[in-house]
Amino acid sequence: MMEKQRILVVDDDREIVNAIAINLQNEGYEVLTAYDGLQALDMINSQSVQLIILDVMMPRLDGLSTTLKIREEKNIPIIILSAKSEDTDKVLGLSMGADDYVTKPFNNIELMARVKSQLRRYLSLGDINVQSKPNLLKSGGLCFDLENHTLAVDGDPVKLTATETKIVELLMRTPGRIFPAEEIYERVWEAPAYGVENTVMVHIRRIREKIEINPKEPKYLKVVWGIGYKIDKI
Amino acid sequence: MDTKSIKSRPFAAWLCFFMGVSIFIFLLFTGLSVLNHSQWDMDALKTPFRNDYKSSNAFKERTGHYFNNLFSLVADPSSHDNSYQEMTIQRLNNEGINLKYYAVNLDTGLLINNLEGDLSFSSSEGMPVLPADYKYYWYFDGNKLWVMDNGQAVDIRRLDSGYQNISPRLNNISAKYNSNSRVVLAVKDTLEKNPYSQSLYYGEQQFLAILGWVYITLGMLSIALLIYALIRRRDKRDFDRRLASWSGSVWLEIKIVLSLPLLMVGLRVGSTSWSDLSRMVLATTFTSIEILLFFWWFYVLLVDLIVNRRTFFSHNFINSLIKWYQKYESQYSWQQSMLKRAYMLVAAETVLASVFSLIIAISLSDFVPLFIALLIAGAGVYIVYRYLHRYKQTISDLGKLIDHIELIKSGDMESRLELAAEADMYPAAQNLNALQEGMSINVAEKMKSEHLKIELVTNVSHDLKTPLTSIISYVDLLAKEEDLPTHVNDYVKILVQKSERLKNLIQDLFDLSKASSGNIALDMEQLDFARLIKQTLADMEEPISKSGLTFRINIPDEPVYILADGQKLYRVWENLITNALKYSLPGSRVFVDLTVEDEGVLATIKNTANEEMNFGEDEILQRFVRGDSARTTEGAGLGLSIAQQFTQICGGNFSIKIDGDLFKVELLFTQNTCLLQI
Repeated sequence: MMEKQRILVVDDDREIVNAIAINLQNEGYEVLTAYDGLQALDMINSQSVQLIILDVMMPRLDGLSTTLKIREEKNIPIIILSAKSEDTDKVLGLSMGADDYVTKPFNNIELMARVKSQLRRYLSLGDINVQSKPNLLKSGGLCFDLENHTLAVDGDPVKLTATETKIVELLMRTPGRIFPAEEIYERVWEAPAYGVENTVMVHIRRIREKIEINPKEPKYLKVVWGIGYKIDKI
Repeated sequence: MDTKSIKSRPFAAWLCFFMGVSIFIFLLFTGLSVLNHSQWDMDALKTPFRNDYKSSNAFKERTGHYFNNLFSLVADPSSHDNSYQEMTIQRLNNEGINLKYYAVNLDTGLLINNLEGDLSFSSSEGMPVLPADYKYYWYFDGNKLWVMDNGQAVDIRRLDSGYQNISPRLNNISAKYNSNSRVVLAVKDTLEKNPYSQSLYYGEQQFLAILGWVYITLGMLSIALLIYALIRRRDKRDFDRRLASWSGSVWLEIKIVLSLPLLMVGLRVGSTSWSDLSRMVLATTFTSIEILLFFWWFYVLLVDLIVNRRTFFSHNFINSLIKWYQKYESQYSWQQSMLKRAYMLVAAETVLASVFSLIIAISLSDFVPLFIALLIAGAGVYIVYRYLHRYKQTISDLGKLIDHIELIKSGDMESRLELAAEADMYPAAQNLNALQEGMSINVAEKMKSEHLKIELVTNVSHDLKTPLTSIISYVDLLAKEEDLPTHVNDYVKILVQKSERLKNLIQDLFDLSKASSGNIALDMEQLDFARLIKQTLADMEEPISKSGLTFRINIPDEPVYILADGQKLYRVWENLITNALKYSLPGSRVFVDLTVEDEGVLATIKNTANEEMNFGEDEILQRFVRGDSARTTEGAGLGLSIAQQFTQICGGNFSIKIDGDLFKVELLFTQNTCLLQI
């Protein structure tokens, strides 16, 4: 049995810290708490921590600066919590070295899912076999095995139908490229496409529900409105 | 230091310069005149400084003058009346004992004489015998003129003899009157004052004695003044400038007219002459004053030219007339002044043409009237040219004004319209610039207040989100409690729903305020509007099919490209469809159409309302802002307002039409913002 994973929760609002701690403990994690950036840095230096949940706006040292400090030495996954929901804020947080970004107010189930996802990736990083395999398509936590035609998200296998598998493979083979519905239909269904937007979209939505933590804010499989669909290279 | 002395210092320096240069020119000119008079004998210059009157040209000339008068009295007595004879003799007698004379005409027996007794001649040389202290004398022996000095005959024909001005005259006389006249004129060795009358010889001797000192003093004064002026040259230059500002206010034409007679003075200078010393001083002084007038006049003009440069020429009568006319014109409104200008042109041309034809008619052959006529014709052409030039400029300025108004309309608040100050459009341009400035200040202030508003909303929404996070988290924990009574569970469910709704409202409010201020990042790209609507419908397939409504979709199969931000436009359609799902009569139909019209791409969504819509088309978009009665019922949130704002920032036109129970939203993307059929 593995040792209990330790998570540091940092926010200047004690009630929020408390609520997150209760939820994490219910999930079986050990929780450390801090109420500003400097306190958080002290804790990381004195104890081993596997994941940090970090608020942005805090007294003494804010979340982004704390992230930068931590990244000078450590590779621990960091999930940023912020009331700012602008895309530019997200990009800024991620570019500072954070691994994920959750906007307040957040859904507990979503936060727990993201914690799990980050921990799985962080702890399985040492798995050399996964990385060295040649027939793998990777994008962030997505990993498509070309030999077996299977998809894993953060190491967890995902059950996809045959059509869904084909769509994911098509999109992941050229990451970043935008595929119109007609092209997806012609290459997956191998039939002439006519009025297929709805069919393709239904499949895309189903795949999202299987691979995304929050299908409303997809991380991997994105709709480019008025153009098509894509999976970005992450 | 008191201000008066500072003010007067430039003038003092300039006055020194003026006096110094004037004296210098006076001396120079006097010297040149003397040289010219003595036929460039340099010795003549030394005369005033030698203090030797009897060897000076002045003495020789005076003696020659006396001799000449005396000679003509006896040689040609018929040509003179008695009064002339008396006056001449009186003049000779004025010299007193300084002058001894003896003149006789052997034919008529006329004798003019102030010697005691008759004149005797020496037997050996045939020369007259005179008292011992009269060693200098002139003698005409009926054939030849002798000038004897101390027993020696002087060769008066020699150029350096000092007689060169006198001898031609005397030679002429002696040749003409080769007669029996004998004339002797002797001058005393030491000239004395005549107690009874004024001796010109004595006077000139005394005058000559101080003349040298006067010249030397003047020369030194001139040098001193010039040195002072050189030291104070900056002050002098200041006064030059003041002088230039005075002379600059005089029209060029006046300067030219005044210069012409002065130029004539300059040409006349060479012809100065005199017959004795006092006249020499007077003549040179007067001519010097003329020369100085000439010199200073052109000095002032030169300074004027150097200081005022172009205005020296541009400040002329014609320009002043034009300026005066412009001033006159400026009293009137633009329309009136334009009319007046045209009338003025016609009037001036008419007058000039009549005068021109009149002069031509008067004399067809004479040169002067013809010249004047040509001058008038030239003036006429010039006026037409000026008028057309001005007209062209005005039209061009008007064009600039129109362009600038266009520029302002298109949003340029920075560039200003610069026109020449005398342009007809200048006041209009200035007013336009002022308007533009006012507008740009308003825009800047508006931007600033919008920015503050955004900041406020951002901060407020952040401050709202933090407690909301706690509420949602703890409500969630509460919902997980297993042994709650059923009714409490129902309460918690309501809390979950409402806190979720609150969260969405806060996010919507934030998005709306950002969008309505235009302060939102846009990612405009060319996209297929038809596909976007299809995608949105497909994305919302689940709630649509659950609603029990029928969607009638009429969208072309071929792409309909527009330029927009896909994410924003998705929000628009998501909100529109959500709105239709919420407020449609159950079982009714929702129509979604996309058509390419002449004016652009038109997308519409129509549904039949489930309740009577007792509000106006504008109210539905603004009810949150205005806070009227519609708020009391649970409204559509900010969905429609966001849809409107997002459409507008993508360059589209959003309009709502209510017709009975029919609710219709139209989105129009005009040709300007979209690129069709690529």
